[in-house]
This record gives sequence, C-alpha cells and structure tokens, in this order.
Amino acid sequence: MNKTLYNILSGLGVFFTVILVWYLIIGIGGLPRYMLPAPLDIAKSAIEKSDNLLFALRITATTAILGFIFSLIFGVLVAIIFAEFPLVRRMLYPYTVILQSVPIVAIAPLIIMWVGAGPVSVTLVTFIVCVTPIIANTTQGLISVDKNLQDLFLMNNASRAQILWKLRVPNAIPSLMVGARISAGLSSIGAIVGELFTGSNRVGEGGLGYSITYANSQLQTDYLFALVACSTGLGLVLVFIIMFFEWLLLHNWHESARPVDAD
Amino acid sequence: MQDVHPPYIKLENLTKRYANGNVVLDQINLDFQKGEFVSLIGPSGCGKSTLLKLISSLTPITSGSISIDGMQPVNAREIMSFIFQDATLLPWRTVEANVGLGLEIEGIPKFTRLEKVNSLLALVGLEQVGKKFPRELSGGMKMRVSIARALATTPEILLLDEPFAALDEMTRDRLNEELLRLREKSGWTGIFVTHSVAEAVFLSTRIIVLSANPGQVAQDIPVNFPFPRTEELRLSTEYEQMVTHVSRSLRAVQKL
Repeated sequence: MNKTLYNILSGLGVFFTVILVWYLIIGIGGLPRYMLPAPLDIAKSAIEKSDNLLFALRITATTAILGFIFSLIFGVLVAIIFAEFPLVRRMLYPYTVILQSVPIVAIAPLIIMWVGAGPVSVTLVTFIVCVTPIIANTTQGLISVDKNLQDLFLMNNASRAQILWKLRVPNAIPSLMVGARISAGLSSIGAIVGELFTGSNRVGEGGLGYSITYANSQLQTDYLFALVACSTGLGLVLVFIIMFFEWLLLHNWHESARPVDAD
Repeated sequence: MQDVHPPYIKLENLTKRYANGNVVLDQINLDFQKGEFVSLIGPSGCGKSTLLKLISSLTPITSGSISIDGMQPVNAREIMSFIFQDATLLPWRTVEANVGLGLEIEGIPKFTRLEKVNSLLALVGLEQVGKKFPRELSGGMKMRVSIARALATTPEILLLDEPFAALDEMTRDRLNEELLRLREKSGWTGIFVTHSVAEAVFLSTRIIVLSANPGQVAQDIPVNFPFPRTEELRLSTEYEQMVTHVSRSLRAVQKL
C-alpha cells in the first residue's frame, strides 16, 4: 500500500516539476504566448472552446473506434486464414510486414485522393494503421500451440474446426490482446493523421486532426495544445478500454493478467 | 493361458527412422496382452517415447506394422488415451472443463458430461477443485486432473509417457498407488514409459528394457507380484531384488 502511495506521489512530483519548469521557461525566456502558452492559458482555452473541442473529439473518437473495430474483425479473420492455410501465410505474410513499414503519413494523401475526403477515408487510414499488429500477433498466437496439446486433440479425434475453436483461438487470445492494445494506441494517431489531410466541409469544424491544422494556421497555440492534450487523452482512454477487456478475458487463467507485485 | 488369446497389441518388425536418417527403433517385435501393464525402460534415445507415439499414430511408421485389437493405430484412437509428461491442461479451462474435454469433442451433452466428470474427480480425490483453473493447482494435482481427463473417455488402453517424471518422490509414490487402484477399477491395459526402475517394478506386470542406437528390445522381464500392490511391497526383499535385477539389465544395455 505504501508503495502505491509512493508511486502516486512520485508521479505527481514529476507532473508539478514539469509545470514549474514550463513557467520558468516562459518567465525567463520571455517567450510570446503564440510560441509557448502557459498551462493555465491552455486550460482556459480548452474551457472556452469546450464545445468545439468536444465536437472534434467526438468525430475523431468515432472514426478511431470504427477503424479499430474493422481492423480487429478483418485482422482476426486474416489471421485465422493464415493459421489454417500455411501456403497462404507464406505467400502473403511478408506483405503484411511491408504494409506495416509503409509510412502512413506518406500514403494518407493518396488514399484521400482515391477514396475522397471524408470520414470514409479517415476510417480507412485508421484501419490500415491498426490492422497489421492485429494480424501479426493473432497469427503468432494461433500457430504457436504446444505440441502436446495438439497431440491431445488428435488423440481425441478432434476435427479441424474443433482444434481451431477449442485450442488455437483460446491460445491466441493473449497475443491477440497485445496486438489490440498496440492498435488501440495507433487508432487515434491514424484518425488524426487522416484528418490532417482531409480538411473539413465547414471551416473550423472537423476532427482533432483538422482542428490542429486550423488552430495552427490561426496561431491559436493555446487551443492547439489543448487539442494535443485531448488527442493524447483519447489514445490513452482507448488503450485503457482494451486493457480492461484484456483483464476481463485473461485474469482467470493467464500469467500476464495476474496482479504483479511491483518491487 | 495368455497364449490362448491372440495378442491384443502386436508390433511387427516396427522401424522408425527420422528424416535425418537416424534409426530410432529397429525391427521391434512385441506382443501385449489385454490387461497387462507394461513398462518401457531404457537409456535416453532408445525410442521408448517414440514407441508410444507410433502406437498412438501421432508419428508415422517407417516400416513394419502395428495392430491394436485388429485395428490400425489411427482407428484405435477411440479406445486409447494418452497421458503426457506434463499435465498438458488447457490453462483457459477450469479443471471440470479440462476433464470433460474428450467427452465434449465426442459431442456428449453437457449434463451427461458433468455427471461423468464429477465422478472422475471424486475418483482421483479432486472433487473440491472442479471450478479452479490449472494455475491454481500443484504439480501433483495437475497430474491427477490429467489422469482423470484420460480416463473420462473410458479407454481400454492407456499410454503414459513419463507422467510422473517432474514430480517429487512422495507425490510420485502416491500417484503410483493411485494409478494401480484406478487400474483395478477400470481394467485398462497400460503401456508406461519411465526412467525410474523402482516405479516400473512397482506398477508393471512386465518390464521391457530397450537398448539405444538403434532402439531394440534387450530384455523382457515379467514382474509377478500379486495385486493389489500396496506401499508394503516397496519394503519387501523380493521387490528390492527385482529392482536390482532390472537395474542391472538397464546398466548392461547402457554399456553397449
């Protein structure tokens, strides 16, 4: 218990030190507000423009979650195909790794050009960013099944479908959740990157990514900071939601979900 | 009397060669009668585990043949259960669901399954832990669950691949006694791979000593202690003598 308190206090300590240093930089450096706004100004602008902020957040959160869910469904299906058909896996798996290495910032404008600006292309960009970690991790989990467990199922004359659903899929859940956690973190980044390029139907109104470019062009740096904080928060919340599901699915049986006594 | 029956399990000129050309088992000829408990013992690399995998058709035969109650091994899986070296439980399933796995795969309805599972858990003394997950159990308890799972499908043949190797000696002795008790109740034929001479002598009606490189039958030793065998057998002179005898055969094989 004391350890928890200590962890919280040290975390808060770092937070307040950063705020202090921040004010010192502004005070000593004499930076203008549009270069580096003070934390309090950022909070003020966030409250003043909370309607805009929440509107932007809702748009980005929706596309991020949609893109993530599509990538989860599609990624798991592809992983199952990869696990069941090694030939397909050997042919296509390298390309999923290549897909992961393509810088999304570079291809986002292309996707928008092909699909058209709007929520569909932003969701698609999010999907592309999210899908590879899910494919890679789930495939790994599906195929790395203990040899003895496979033999056990064979000795019971289990069908291929039974081996898939009763052995491979449950065996893959821990690594699927690792992939989902990575993708959840990427989903808000994907949505924001997509929005940076799509613009908006109405001036000043759009997702977080669009609002960031807009605030930047208007030199509303305090609001820009508020938007960045909001984006970070969105990513964190999505990751925490997945971690909750991870706990829900695994805490009964899996080592990773067991409470760890930090030392 | 045994000669009257045709052998229950018959291995003829059984040879297993790996892809790299290594001959693991060379021209094995062995007969097993129904109700026997046969231990396979030998130096590492003699192919005793491979022999179990061949009988269960988990690895293909290079040449020769196996017949189990007149069937090909792959068709005889229905009457066989395999107990692995580790408990090999599914960590995401409760003890109950682990024991019921074979029945579930067979498509037996849940209600019937649960009845059978509970009676088996009672049989191995684990009725209290049915709802627990494997990680909450000790090594010995996990192995009991594994035994219960193997018996759930009421096998006629039980193949055991060093099931107690990872357990401490006390637990091992107790599980040995329990295994004999279970065998008395359900009368399966056992083929048991082990490193422990004492264990083999205590459990078996017959011990087969294999030599290595390539694996061949070196000795076939009957063990005629009457059943039920209890802890007291371990203290008797005859038992000591038998252990010494088997140990000598094993050492002779290892020298080669």
